[in-house]
Amino acid sequence: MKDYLLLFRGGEMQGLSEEERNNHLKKWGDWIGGLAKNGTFVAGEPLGNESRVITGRKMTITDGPYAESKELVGGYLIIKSADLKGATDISKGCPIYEVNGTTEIRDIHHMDF
Amino acid sequence: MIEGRTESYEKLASHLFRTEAGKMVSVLTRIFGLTHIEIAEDIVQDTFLKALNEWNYNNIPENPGAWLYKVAKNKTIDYLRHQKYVQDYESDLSHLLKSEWTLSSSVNNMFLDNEIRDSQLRMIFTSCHPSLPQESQIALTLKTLCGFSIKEISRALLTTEANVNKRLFRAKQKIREEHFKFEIPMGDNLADRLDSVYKVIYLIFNEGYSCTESEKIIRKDLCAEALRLCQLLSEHQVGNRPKTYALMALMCFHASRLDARIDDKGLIILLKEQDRTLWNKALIAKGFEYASIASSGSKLSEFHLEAGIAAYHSSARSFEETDWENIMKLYNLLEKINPSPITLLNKAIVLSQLKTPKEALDELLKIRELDKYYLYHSTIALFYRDLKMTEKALNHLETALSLTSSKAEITLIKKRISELKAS
Repeated sequence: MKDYLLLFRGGEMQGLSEEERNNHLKKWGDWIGGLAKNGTFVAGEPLGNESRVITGRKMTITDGPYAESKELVGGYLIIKSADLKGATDISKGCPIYEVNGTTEIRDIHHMDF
Repeated sequence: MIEGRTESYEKLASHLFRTEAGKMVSVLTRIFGLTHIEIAEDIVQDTFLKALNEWNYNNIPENPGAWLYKVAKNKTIDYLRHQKYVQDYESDLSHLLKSEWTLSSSVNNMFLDNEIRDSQLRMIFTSCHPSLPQESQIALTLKTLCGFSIKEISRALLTTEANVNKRLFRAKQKIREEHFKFEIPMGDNLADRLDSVYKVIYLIFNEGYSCTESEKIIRKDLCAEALRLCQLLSEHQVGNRPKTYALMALMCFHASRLDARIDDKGLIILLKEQDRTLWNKALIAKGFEYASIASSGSKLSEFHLEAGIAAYHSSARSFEETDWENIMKLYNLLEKINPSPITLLNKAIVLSQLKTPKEALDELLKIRELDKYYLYHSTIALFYRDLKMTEKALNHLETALSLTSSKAEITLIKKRISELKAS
């Protein structure tokens, strides 16, 4: 078993009514609750909009990482899976595609040196 | 004006504490796990403190129950957020409490009606666990499910607060050390676990019904809580069985006489002298309802028989019109299932109605185990009195007097003694 990071980006939530929004959020809770129950879930949190980016030796500070909301990371999960294919399959259960968002799946690297 | 309002909110708060505290402690124990039952109790305590503070100056909220749940939920979520990376919980939800994705929705879900019922049943089976001594089972049930304070438990059980604290402390220690599971039992041991629950409910009811020194309000609350817990059990698939209904019927019949059996001064009024119009007809009707569904099974329990006996008393229009013969038949059956000396004592009383005081007295004198029980001696005295053997009657009344500490009983026995001396 390896750990994988799932990064959730974008998702068009602005057009939704409050009820649709709540229904959508409930799907997230149910999906992640299911992963927690079967032992796949390791950690993860939803993320808000407040952000700063610090860059380079001069440590330049700018607002937010991306101007466009579709590139904004809205949350992350760390899950357990045998391989990348398994992690990809698990990620297909995520409700983010219903609102046209994307998931990026990355393996967590072991820093052995 | 202000005083009146203060009083009404305090009354409401204490009523709510009874009805809601047990629900919230059960739900929160489900969330935090049994090893952290104190966290659950602290949060519920804080919630009520907040209610007392805020309701004092502002208006009482429209739906006080919902207000309490909301505060308790928020306090719980706050607590879990602070402890997220620090503490582990042994509950089956623990993994859902570790992430904002699922934290607040999981806590909210536990406050849905069916989950509240489920959590209360888990708490009933845990508090009445057969590994705990019976006196701890009762104290724990009153504390965790019925919202009784330590002081109220000590008054209800006629013991000291230190003693109650000790019992509760040891019970919780045992629960932790033996890793009790916060669950509703299933399968083979369910019947045993249910029996232990029935016993606690029955004892709580008896404590309320029997005339001890504790105040009237506490006694009524004990009876009401026993009825509530039994009803909760009867509504769940784990407990919807004839024996539960029979216990329910039995308690309804007895509870119907609560107001008629004690007078304004706290004195006991015997069945024969009770004003039967004071009997609660709604409770009697409920008793018959439960008795009829209790008769669906094939197994006759002691609760069925005791409910049957109580039903005959409840349906008699006067003491003289009581169906003693059928009551006797039920006592004979009861003696076969449970040949306790108390059953024999009651049987002898019925015999005195059917036959002569002499025959009843002969039966009574055969019972050996009740020599230290005041009611045994006051009953013997009653029969000696009827046989005009005043000297012996007085002797037994004096013995009875030395065996009880209940003010109401003492007053009753003293009244008898002076009546006898006057005759």
